[in-house]
Amino acid sequence: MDVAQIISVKIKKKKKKNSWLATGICFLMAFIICLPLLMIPGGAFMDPAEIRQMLSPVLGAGNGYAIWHFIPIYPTIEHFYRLLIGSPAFYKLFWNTVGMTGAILAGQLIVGLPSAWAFAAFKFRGRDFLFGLYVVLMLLPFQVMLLPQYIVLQKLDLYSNPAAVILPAVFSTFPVFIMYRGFTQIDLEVLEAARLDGAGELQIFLYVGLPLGQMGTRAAMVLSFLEYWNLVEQPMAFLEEQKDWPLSLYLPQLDISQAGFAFAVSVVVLIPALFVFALGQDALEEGITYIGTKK
Amino acid sequence: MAVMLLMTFVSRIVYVNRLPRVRWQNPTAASIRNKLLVDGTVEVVNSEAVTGMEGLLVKRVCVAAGEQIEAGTVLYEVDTEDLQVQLSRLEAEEQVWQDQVNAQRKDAATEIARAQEDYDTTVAELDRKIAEETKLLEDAMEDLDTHMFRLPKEDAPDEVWIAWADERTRIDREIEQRKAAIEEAGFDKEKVLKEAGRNIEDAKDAQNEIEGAYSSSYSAIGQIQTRQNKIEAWKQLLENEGQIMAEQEGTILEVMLKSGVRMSADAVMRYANAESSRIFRTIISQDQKSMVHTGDTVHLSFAGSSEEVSETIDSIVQENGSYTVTIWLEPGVAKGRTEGTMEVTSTSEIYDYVIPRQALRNDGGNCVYVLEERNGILGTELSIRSLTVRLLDENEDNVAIADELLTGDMKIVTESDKELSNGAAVVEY
Repeated sequence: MDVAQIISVKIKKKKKKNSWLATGICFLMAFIICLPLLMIPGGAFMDPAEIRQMLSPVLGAGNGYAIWHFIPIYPTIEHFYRLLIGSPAFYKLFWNTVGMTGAILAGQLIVGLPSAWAFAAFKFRGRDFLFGLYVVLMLLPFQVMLLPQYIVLQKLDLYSNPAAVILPAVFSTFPVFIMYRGFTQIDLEVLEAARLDGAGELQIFLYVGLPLGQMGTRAAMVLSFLEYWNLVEQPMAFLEEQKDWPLSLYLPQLDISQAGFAFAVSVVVLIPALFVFALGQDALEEGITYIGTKK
Repeated sequence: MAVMLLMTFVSRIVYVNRLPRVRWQNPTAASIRNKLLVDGTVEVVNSEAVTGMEGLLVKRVCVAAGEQIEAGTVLYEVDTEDLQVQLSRLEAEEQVWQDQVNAQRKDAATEIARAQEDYDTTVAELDRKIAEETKLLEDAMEDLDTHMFRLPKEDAPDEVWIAWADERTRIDREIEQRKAAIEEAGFDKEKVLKEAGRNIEDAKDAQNEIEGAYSSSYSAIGQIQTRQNKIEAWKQLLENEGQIMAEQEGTILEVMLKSGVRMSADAVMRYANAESSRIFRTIISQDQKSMVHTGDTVHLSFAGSSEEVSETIDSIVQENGSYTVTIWLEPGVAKGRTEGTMEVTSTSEIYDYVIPRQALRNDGGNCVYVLEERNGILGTELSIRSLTVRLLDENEDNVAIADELLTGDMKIVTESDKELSNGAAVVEY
């Protein structure tokens, strides 16, 4: 074995060692990040007395540090019973969220899809400027847009109306950007061929664009769902009446003395998000890829 | 989604069924009509006493406190055998005393008669003696007159004159002697009369002393008369077979007598007759005092009777933190009653906010629950809010309240089927 081979073997061994180290660090960080998530199921089935006992230092009723049992010693379904049977308010907010999220996603499909298709399939004057404006709007944080949106909604007499949350979200530019990225994956030759075959623009959009760009659309919908299912700031800012609130504002109504109940709420709230994530995981990954891809 | 829809429906049903159902009403302007009901006692002020027959043995008590009696009702019976013995003893004592007194009286009378007889004899003897001397004096006076007619002539010898003069001297001397004897007999008579009179007076004094002793004993102790009265009464009692009867109708108030007890001369029973005055007396608290005043007309009813009267409060006296209310009853009212109830009714001024009593809650103080609409997660719901109020007046049914935040259009919760708490969501019936 010559020197070059020896160096090569050493480098490989070092890389392998580094790889194990990196994996270990990643797992450790992943565990730390997921720790709150891991506490939720245990807390949801934990007896209130057990929660009080463990969280007594946090609640100011004891000394030392709070501890946690990932598997409850005295498991109970009391919190779920209270939530699912005795809390109609939860369902009210659940259906508010379903309606709000559904309306937003539908609106984004109606408004965003043609926009994204237009940006992707047509060349027109000012397209780049307009798309740049979309990107800038996408990058603006909500806090920047809060006051202008508030003024506009007041003028439109939409303040404290669910439309105050739905309409700005419908015209959000982020889904347009994701869907645009999806549509740009379609070769222009395919579209040209369709035109040569006599297809109209609407036919090309419906029969060529949508099927071929579905991954982008699905990614946009999944991301939008996850965002708007957990929407907090906008409802808090624009919805005065609790009856219009989404489910994401239900948890802030609970204090630390209802920790077990709050864990149960978290579990139930998490289920639709996990379900949607599972269904659209491949599209979501591809959509995220689109975000980082420059055409 | 279908599951969530179903669960939504179920949770709504459960939620609504758990909500308290309430009734409400607006506070109204009204007055509070207070009614005070207080129990009290009926007391007889001037009751009659039945005194015991001293020394007799009670065989049976025939009446009890609270019992109505008529004239002739047997109150109690004495042991007739014992009565007979006691009566015999008493009569013997009386006879001994009578014998003693009669003997003393007889001796005194004899002494008086004897003194009188001595007096009369002495007076008669002296009178006879005076009469004899008077007769002799009259004879001497006649002799003197005769002798004066036998005056000798002027020329009669001296011997005649001397004899005549000697005779005259003798007659004059005899006259003087008779006069002296009469005067002496008068003196003697006077002396004897005085002495005999003293003897009579002494005898009378002795008799008076006896009578006086009898009189002073009678008046001071009264034993004799008492004994005689007792004998008369016991004889009468024996004729009645030992039964003591009521002399008039009335109500037995108190019986201090027991079978088998020998009585003293104290009262053994008290009863109220038709002429007896009665008072109703009750005790009220400091809070109740505000409702009653001297001179107020109150309604009285009596336990065990349908009799109801309106009377006036005569006095209210504070005693140990409470007040004693006294009402003099009209004659004949509450006969035979020992307990009663005083009812006082008063109407207050008109208060702005009067609510049913059951609407007043105690949540660390007087408060009411106000029904309000509340916008929550479930939309517009009915909820209750605790409002602290001041209690102005109250009766059994209503309370008058006041507070700066209270308005006439507030919905005050009056009734609920579950326990209420401040802020709780509710539904109406």
